[in-house]
Amino acid sequence: MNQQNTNLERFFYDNKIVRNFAYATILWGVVGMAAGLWAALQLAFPALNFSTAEVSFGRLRPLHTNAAIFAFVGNGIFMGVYYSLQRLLKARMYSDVLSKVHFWGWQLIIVAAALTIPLGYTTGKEYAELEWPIDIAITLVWVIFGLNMFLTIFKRRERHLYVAIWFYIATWITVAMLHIVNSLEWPVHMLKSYSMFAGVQDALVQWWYGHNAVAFFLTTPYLGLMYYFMPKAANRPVFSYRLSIIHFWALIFIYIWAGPHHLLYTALPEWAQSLGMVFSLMLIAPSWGGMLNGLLTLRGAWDRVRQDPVLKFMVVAVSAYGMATLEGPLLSIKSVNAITHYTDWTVAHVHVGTLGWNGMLTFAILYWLLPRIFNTSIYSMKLANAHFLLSTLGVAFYSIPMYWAGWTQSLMWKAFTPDGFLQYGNFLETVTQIVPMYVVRALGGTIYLVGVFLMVYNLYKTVKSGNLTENEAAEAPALEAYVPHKGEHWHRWIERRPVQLLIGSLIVVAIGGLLEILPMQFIESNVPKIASVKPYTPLELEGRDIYLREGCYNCHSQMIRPMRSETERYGEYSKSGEFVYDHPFQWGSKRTGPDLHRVGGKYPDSWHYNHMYDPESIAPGSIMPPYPWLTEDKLDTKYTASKIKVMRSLGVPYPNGYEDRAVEELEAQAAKIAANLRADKIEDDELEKKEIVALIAYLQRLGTDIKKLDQVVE
Amino acid sequence: MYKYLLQSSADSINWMGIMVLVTFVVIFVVVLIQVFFQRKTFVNHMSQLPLDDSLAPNHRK
Repeated sequence: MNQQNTNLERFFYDNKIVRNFAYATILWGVVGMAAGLWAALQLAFPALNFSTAEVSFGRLRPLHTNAAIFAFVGNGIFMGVYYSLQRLLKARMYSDVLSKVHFWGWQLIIVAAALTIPLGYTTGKEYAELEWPIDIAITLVWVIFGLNMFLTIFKRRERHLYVAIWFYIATWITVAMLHIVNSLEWPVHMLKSYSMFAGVQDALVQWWYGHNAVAFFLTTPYLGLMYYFMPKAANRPVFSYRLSIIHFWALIFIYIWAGPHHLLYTALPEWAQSLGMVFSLMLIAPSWGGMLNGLLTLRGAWDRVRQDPVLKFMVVAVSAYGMATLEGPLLSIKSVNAITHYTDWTVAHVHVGTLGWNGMLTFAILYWLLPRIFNTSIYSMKLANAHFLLSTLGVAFYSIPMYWAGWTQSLMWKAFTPDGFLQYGNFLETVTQIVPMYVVRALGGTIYLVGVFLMVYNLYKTVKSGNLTENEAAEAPALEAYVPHKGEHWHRWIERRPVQLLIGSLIVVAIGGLLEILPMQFIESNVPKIASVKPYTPLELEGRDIYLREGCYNCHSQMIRPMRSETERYGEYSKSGEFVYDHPFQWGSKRTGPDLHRVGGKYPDSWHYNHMYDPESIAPGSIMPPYPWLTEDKLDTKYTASKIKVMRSLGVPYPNGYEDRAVEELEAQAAKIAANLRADKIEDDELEKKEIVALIAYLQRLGTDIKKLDQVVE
Repeated sequence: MYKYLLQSSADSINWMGIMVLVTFVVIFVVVLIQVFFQRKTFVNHMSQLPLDDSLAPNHRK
């Protein structure tokens, strides 16, 4: 092949950008995991939010998930891609300037997220909480990354693209598609917008995005890294290159369909649920093909796994990938999902993936890569081995209590007495039962984080003992014009052509997205209308925005599944027609607290006031944080009229000119609620102006429209 | 127009499931066939790619 060419060109790999992304990975890893630990501790010891709005659980949890996914894993992806892409293509990155803009742009986005999420600026959609200006910035930086990657591919010295690069290309195009579609939102002001989609359609788009954020941000780029760094660390080629090709096409085709498994038994139409379940089950095959391909790459090198911490981390990472990708399809079976959904089982499942697969593969790459670009060796193998031990123990101590908590709580939710009543009618009983498991989970998180601190120290000493080769010299022959020869296979054709590979990947992933989402958007019978369902009043709309701001969806669902255990506890099951004005939907994915869809009218206004002010005064033993600021802060009605206008433009049938009298109506409704509160001896001179009144209005409206049964058309 | 096009098929949405299955099987079979007919020298070259950072002699791998 090319080696026969003797005209070697000399060039230099850019190691500085790799180092920068490595440092950012470490920094944001510590921040993201510390935020996670803090959130975990709050569930065991609610006082740890110090009654501070910015760090209450509903804001801290999105901060943790965004930091762990987009800051820690995101920088980890870029570190690995910038290192491997240059070497696989035998070319320096196309532009140092683009690399720098990409690096600093991504870090600025992270800082913007770290500021806006605690301040309560959120779209209210899981893993996509960032507001619209940041969404635009993400798109721009992502385009810069793609441009730099493709221009590098175009000037490559290796004709064929190794499978890792296909994974990078598929990641880039799919993440772009998912991010843009799920972030379609209409701005109210610079830091507030409403999703263009509503209710069941928003739910489908969100989980098409949410699931594929797992697939194409936490999985495919890391598989690319596995296919590069595992052969590198084991110093032997991948077990089967042929299998890696089958792995690639099967995985990206199937993954994109699996989103609806997050919505089983919800108001999503049955056909979409079945589609999600079937494709999720099919995913076992390519996922395990990839896992085995990774593990078998170590054939003949297993003796080294006993000593080398890099290989140890890799083996456990790939095993965790295998466990998570077997468990995921099983959780997608409807009958299993009926037990697991909304419980801590899901939390255990995702942490096997993130702590095991993403975390440990990142650590392996850091331990392998930093000594190489700094021309040194790991400062302490003992510390690295201790880190491995702590990581493995941490994952076990994290996930086992969470599995236990999930089973316990689910069984308690579904337990009936012989007389046919709920055995644990008070939801709180099912929470206090699992608090000890939350304590052990926090211990698991602490062990994992201590391991990370050992790594930080070890890598600091490693870096100090060496010198960075900013520009690493390499040689390879220039790429000559290719003359296709007779009888070659079409796949070799595509392996030479990155643009065709990009388009092929886009077509494969877009088929799934289009066929799932378009029918939901256009076929009206998928969302039967209910005549008695009306738009929110201005006060309820403001209250809903407070619900979003405080991140209530992190602990409360608004989706009662059609199961006896749920209808007994919460009331009539949820219908898709009830959510047609919900921009965005708030179905939630976890019940740390009870479902709220039928909470409207269940308690007096004063109950909500006292409960929000101090949950323990109403429900002793509750782990819900107190929200005293809601009783102190005045409701800002500056944007109420604009919100009504934006909602109307999104299809909510507010009459023309309604925005002009919105604040007036808001004040009238607030006065009524304040009068109710005063009648129950809640004293405050300016009660009607407080945020809590708006939130009460929203909570009292929830799920009540359908109770006007005589008006129901369909 | 698209709205009505899709509306007409609302009662029998099964064609989508079948189409998806057929598309997947076609893609999978085509990939499978071509992968097993690739030449061994080519496969070896591809799987060696991560191990060669530089094609110059004596370069550290």
